[in-house]
Amino acid sequence: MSSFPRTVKGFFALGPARFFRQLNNIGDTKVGTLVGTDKFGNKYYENLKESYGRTRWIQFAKEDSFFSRAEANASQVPAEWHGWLHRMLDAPPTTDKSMVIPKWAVEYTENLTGSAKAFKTYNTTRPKFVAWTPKAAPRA
Amino acid sequence: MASVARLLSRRSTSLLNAAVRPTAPSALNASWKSTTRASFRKFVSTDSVPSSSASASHHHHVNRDMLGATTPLGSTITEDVEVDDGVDVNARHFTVNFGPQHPAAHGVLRLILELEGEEILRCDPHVGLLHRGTEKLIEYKTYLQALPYFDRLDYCSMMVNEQAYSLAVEKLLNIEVPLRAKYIRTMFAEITRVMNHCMSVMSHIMDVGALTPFLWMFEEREKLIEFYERVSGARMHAAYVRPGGVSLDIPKGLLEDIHVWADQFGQRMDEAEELITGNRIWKGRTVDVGRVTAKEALDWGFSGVMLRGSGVNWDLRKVQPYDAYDLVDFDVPVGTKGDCYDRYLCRMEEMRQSLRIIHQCINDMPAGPVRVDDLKISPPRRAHMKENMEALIHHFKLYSEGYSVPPGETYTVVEAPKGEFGVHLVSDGSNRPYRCKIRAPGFAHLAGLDFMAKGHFIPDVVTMIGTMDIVFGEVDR
Amino acid sequence: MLRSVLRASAIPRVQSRVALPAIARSIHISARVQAQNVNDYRANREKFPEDDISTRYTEGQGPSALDKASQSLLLTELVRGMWVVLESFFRPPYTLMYPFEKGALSPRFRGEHALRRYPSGEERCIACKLCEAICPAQAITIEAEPREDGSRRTTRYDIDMTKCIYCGFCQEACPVDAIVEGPNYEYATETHEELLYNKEKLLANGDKWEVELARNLEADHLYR
Repeated sequence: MSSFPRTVKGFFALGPARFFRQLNNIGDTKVGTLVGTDKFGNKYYENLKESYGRTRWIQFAKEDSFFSRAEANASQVPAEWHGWLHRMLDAPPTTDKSMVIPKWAVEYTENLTGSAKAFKTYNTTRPKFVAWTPKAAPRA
Repeated sequence: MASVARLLSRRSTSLLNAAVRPTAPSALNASWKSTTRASFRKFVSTDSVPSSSASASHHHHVNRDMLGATTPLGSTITEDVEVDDGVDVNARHFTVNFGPQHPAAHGVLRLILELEGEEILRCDPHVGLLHRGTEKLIEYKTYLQALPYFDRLDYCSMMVNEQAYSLAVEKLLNIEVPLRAKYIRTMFAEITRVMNHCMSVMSHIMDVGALTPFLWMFEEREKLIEFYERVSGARMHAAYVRPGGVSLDIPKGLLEDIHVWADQFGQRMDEAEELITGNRIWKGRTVDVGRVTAKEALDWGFSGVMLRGSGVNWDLRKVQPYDAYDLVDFDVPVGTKGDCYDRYLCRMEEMRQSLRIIHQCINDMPAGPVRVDDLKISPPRRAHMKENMEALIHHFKLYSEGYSVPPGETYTVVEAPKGEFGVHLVSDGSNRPYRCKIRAPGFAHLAGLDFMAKGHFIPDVVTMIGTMDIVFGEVDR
Repeated sequence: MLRSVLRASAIPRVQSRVALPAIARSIHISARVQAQNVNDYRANREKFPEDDISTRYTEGQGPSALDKASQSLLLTELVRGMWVVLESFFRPPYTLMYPFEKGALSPRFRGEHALRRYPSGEERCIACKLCEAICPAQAITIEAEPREDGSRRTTRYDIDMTKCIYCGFCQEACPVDAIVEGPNYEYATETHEELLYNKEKLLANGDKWEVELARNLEADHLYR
């Protein structure tokens, strides 16, 4: 909560449900225009009247709420939206015509550490040595 | 409880002594004691000087752990009690282990403090906990590969260290970098100076007890780190200043943003100074603490603000200008008393002078190349490398074998925010340095802590560590 | 009062802006100034007083006793300082609420590594091993053999991300823009071995991030 008037204003602008959701997650009431939604359901907002560095933000699809535990994670921002959220790009991918997604691009995954799908390293070469299996000649 | 025990320690040891009943100390022991105590004779009460009777034994050396007592600083106090001939019992001085996990120790400093009450008799810095063997590692790297090590020496002023190394290599190569590169380096050296002073002065103030200005200045420092990130791609360990210039030109719009930042930074400093400079608590903690005379500062090899705070007007940017420092106009603040407060004032004024230099660099920076135009030293542009066979060959040579530096040796210094940062580079004509000795200012300053801290109290040691601006990356190397 | 403590540099400042070419001017001036200052310093070195340097400057200066007493009793400097604190209390906070709001990044940012592909889907890396050679931390291991179609490709491209120092030399060295340091920094792991990246992981990173990698390289190509 940043200041009392801002919080009160946020309550009326956001409505009770989003108000409590934001206080539960961002810890601040942020009012802005919805710029877009990505394929995971994360919503991206912008308000250029916010102070420097706080103009763009994300509302994660898996945020903490009354019904579910928080599974939101900073690495859930897909690559298309990453540049916009980090203020590298002016235009969001919804309007950016120059963004090219290659045919062979793979589905974006969040950081999977700690889960069963976490990356485990393995050898990508053929083994250098092949185990020797002794072949004993049959005894006469 | 522990303090009560400490207050009663004399009495309790004499009771203990009555029970143990030891014999008088030997002459040998007496002479041993007199030599070790000689320097602290004035702190030892006269009645505790042992008699030199020549009988057979001994003073018991009782090492009593004070009930596992810990100071509020988290260090364990052990008290050495010597039980002498039954009459003269004197407690040995407390030895306090300050650090290496102490938050005011600025990293991994371990101080062995010998105390008389709270007064410091001896202060023994133990260094080496962050030793990584940088100098030796550099001998096995090419000149380009050695560069990132310098970011990690004084990790509060990254680009200045790179600059020192780059200047040393350029000296050996006998090349002159383009003027634009000189201005970029100068500007970023000053940005680095502001960054370092934001860190060091404000954490000094925080150690002394004021958290607020620390947070204010860290906001500014974060902006400077963003400039680092925009120009080099890394927020701290930039690897930006290279032998032969800088790695990439400044991106469009960055100079404008630096200008906007520099315009408002003076106000932020005014706010911080309004809160700190006149503050009686801050003055009470720093004025006349850690006095260093000019003679002492010169004798102990101090440099930078530690020297200028004592009144010696010696700034390497003025006395042997490197890069574009002879083309910009700035003043060097010099202290008068050589105490922690003067050094604080000098650092604050240095930040303002840095702003002046940054403004001049932005205004005077010419267009042009940022790397020396010699394909044997600086890699070709990527577009050329992809079209031109010769450029590609140069690219391969530079990124595999590196460039060979003619035989010779140089000791090149820069005025780092902490003092004189020097690189002594010996080349045997191969593509790797034969020897690279790094002169870290913090090392010499830390050596002087003993004489500075003598007679002060424990909290003043914290003040002095803060004022010396110690960073263990460079002290331990 | 503050300024009175500070004494401006006594060294004569170089003011001459003659019409020499800039570089020649800088060399010329620096050599001259250096010699002069070193001589000045040597000549004056012994004059530094041994004990107390404070008396030289502070005699007859400073506020009067009445000023001092009133300032001390009325806590003026503390009140002024606290006023600044009060002002900043009413300013909007500048805290970034990560991960909902994120810090700015530039196209040059050097984060997690990725191996890129050509638009056709063919992997770029040709196993020239320049990145392996330049890596100061020796974090990269490469093995290569010819593929069935005769082209030279890596069979092993391992990066030990726990050794890597993120200096960016690998992406500078790469002649085909195959290995890059991408914009991602949110790849912290719970175990060490998850950070021992192999070729498949790096290629997967490239496939995941290609949208942004290509844009960042394009944004910076004029400078590189």
